[in-house]
Amino acid sequence: MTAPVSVVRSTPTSSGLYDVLDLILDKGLVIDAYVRVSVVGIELLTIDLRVVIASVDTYLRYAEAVDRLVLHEQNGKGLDDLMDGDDDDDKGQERKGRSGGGRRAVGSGDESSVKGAVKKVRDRVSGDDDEDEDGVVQKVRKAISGDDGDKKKNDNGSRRRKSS
Amino acid sequence: MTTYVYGITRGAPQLPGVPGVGDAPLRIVEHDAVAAVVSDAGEGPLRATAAGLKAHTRVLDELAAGLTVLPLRFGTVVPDDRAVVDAMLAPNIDHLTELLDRLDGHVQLTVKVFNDEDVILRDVVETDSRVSGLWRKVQGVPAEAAYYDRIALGQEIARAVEQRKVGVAQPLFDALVELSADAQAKEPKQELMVLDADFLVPRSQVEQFDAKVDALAKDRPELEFRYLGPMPAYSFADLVLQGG
Repeated sequence: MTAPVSVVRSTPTSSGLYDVLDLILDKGLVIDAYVRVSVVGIELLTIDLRVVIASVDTYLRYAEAVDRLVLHEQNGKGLDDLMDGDDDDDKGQERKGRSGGGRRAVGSGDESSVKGAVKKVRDRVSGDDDEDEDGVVQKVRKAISGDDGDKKKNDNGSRRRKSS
Repeated sequence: MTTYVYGITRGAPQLPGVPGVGDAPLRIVEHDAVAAVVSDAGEGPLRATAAGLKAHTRVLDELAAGLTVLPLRFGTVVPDDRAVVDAMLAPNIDHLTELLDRLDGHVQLTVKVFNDEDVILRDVVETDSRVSGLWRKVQGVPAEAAYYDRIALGQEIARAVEQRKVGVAQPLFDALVELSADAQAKEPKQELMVLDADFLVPRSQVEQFDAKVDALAKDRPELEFRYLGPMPAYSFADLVLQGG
């Protein structure tokens, strides 16, 4: 099957900001005499952007993601059946804002995944146009770094679904 | 009244019709051949909010649509308009004009490439024997009981995912560098990210660059591309201004 793939270029403003946060916060001109001394919350946000997520939490998310993937696909079949390489689940469903059709549709609506954690941050940053509250940075910060703490309390993945 | 600074241009630019951070109207502070786009920032500390980040980005996006602008990092606030001239523009005028010359006619395009989670995980489970071995081991065992095995499984998956990244980014980067005046690849910051790279591209070549990105994405349907721009050359205006 041939699926049209087209990559849409979006401006930082229309991208929802998450993808350009590192640029806005970490790149561009700096004036050494006044290094953002008066911006509350910025250092925390910047530090968290540098965190490469590699933790027990990541591993558990992967394990969970594989569970879900396999559950969705097998419909009672075992892994060995999967290994036969059935392609009948290839629905070519296109994902919003992503590059591709022709991609397996498995679990695409489910945010309890490795990607889900990132998406949550992105949702938070893009927020409402008029959102202007103290807590935003804290929320973003928590969403970027804080899955660790969360995870211990509740391990079933449901918390990552969009509930707010 | 403190002054928030967005970016520096050659000469006074036409101000975009969008509000600044905190809904403050935009203004221009000129000095010699350069100008800073600013707005009032009020007294007291400025809070880093989503709305503020968005306003900052929007102003720079709009400016960069029509001319070359050196963006300042989000949250640059100086005591007053005088400090814009005395601490930013005047002492650095040579560096600023030099950088404006170098970036003139160029925009930044940013390309981020990710493994599709479902595709890569499926591949890993199907073809990596250590992963599939551990996967079998945890089948039918409650998640709590298999806690440590699940961590081990995840660890093996992480290893296998990293392994599959090797050699993927370089050809993509190389193909795009050809159309760029300058480029830099950054360390991928997310597990599934393969490439995170910024390109300085002449405005006249943006369409060609679009076509190239599209072609690369067509070649690699298992990868997800996020493509951003045009934007001010954030990554190529990495200059520290020496305040007066």
